[in-house]
Amino acid sequence: MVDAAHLTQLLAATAAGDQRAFRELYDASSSHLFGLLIRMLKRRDWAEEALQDCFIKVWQKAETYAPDKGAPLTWLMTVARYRALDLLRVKRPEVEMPEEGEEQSLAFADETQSPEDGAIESEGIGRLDDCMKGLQEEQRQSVLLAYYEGYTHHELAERLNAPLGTVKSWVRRGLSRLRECLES
Amino acid sequence: MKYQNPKLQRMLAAEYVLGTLHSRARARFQRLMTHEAALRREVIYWENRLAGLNGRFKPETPRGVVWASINYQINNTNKVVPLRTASAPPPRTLWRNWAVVSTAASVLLGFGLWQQMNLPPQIITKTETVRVEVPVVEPLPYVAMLHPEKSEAKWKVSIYPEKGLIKVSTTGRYAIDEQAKSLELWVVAKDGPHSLGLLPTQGDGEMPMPQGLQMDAGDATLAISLEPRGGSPTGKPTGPVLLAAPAVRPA
Repeated sequence: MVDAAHLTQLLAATAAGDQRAFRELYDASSSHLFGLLIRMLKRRDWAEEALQDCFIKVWQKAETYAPDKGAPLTWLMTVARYRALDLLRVKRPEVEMPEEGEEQSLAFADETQSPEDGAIESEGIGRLDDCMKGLQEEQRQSVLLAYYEGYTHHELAERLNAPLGTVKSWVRRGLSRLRECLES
Repeated sequence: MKYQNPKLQRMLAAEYVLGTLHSRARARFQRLMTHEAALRREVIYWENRLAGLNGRFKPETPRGVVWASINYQINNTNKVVPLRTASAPPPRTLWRNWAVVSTAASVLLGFGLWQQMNLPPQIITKTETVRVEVPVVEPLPYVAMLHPEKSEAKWKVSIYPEKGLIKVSTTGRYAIDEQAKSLELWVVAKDGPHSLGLLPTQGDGEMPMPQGLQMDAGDATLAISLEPRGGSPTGKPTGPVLLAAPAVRPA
């Protein structure tokens, strides 16, 4: 269980140059970031490299975190996700795109999710869940593939075997509908 | 693109967070975002909403070596030591096969001869022979005898700073799981340990001294640490230190 208030304190102490707080921050959060990086990058060596980059960045930029940017773990996960996206843009040509049916299931309602997993999520997960279910199948699939695999429009088009323009509109309509639903 | 269009801006922010933009579009959006508070708010909105999907990432504990590397970097901010991945150069190893070295030498020699043969003949216009007596005194090496406790193995390490050469001869064999571990040799200088390379667990070998390494004046201290296979990922000892011993240079 990751305590948001404690992580916020640790980030503040890290920003002030406290190496012990930084170590504690690493111990409390690195497994979450590493899980994300392995899932997105698919290779342990890349994930380790990226994890290292992330925490160097956190050490240097901890002062840019503010609670109004969101929960501290969300902020850390975002740092990791953007790092993964940047790496994928550079390295993706080396990664083989999964064949139809090979990739992990993207079914959204995930019964295997433990309460502990839930504890690291930001507020409004139930709402997001409901809103995702309200999307059309292609829209939902496009959004989830982009989020978990870091696919660009082009990669989505290839993966979903659909024209680029069609895929772009699935993503955009999906995001618009999500927003309408989240704000309703 | 009409970035002023609020609807389009909102969409770009959402796609930036989602990750569908290709690298140039990503970079462009990042630049735009630094000037536009409204865009940053949009980005934060989506970061927090889509974070609801993060629960599907299963936590995994990284290897200890990642922290060791981060810790080293934050304490040596000017130096960047990447984790050793497949693309990184392999660490120096003392265990150089003489056959390989001599093959390389003969190839070089052959190449030199070939170059000579392709040069135009030189015309010697004047010769002058001057005989100068130069006493050649080989500087003596630093020598250390390294004998770990509870082991039959012993290493004699000779360091020739002037030649930039390190020689090792091993008596017996030091047993480690060589698939997982390596022995790394260090010189402990005033500013901390510097890697000299990997130590063989048996047999003899030699290798060049690391570039730019200066030995402190007087006697030196050598140490051996047990490291992940291929050597310390951080450039500093990360594993247990087997022993430290003086390396003496006879005056």
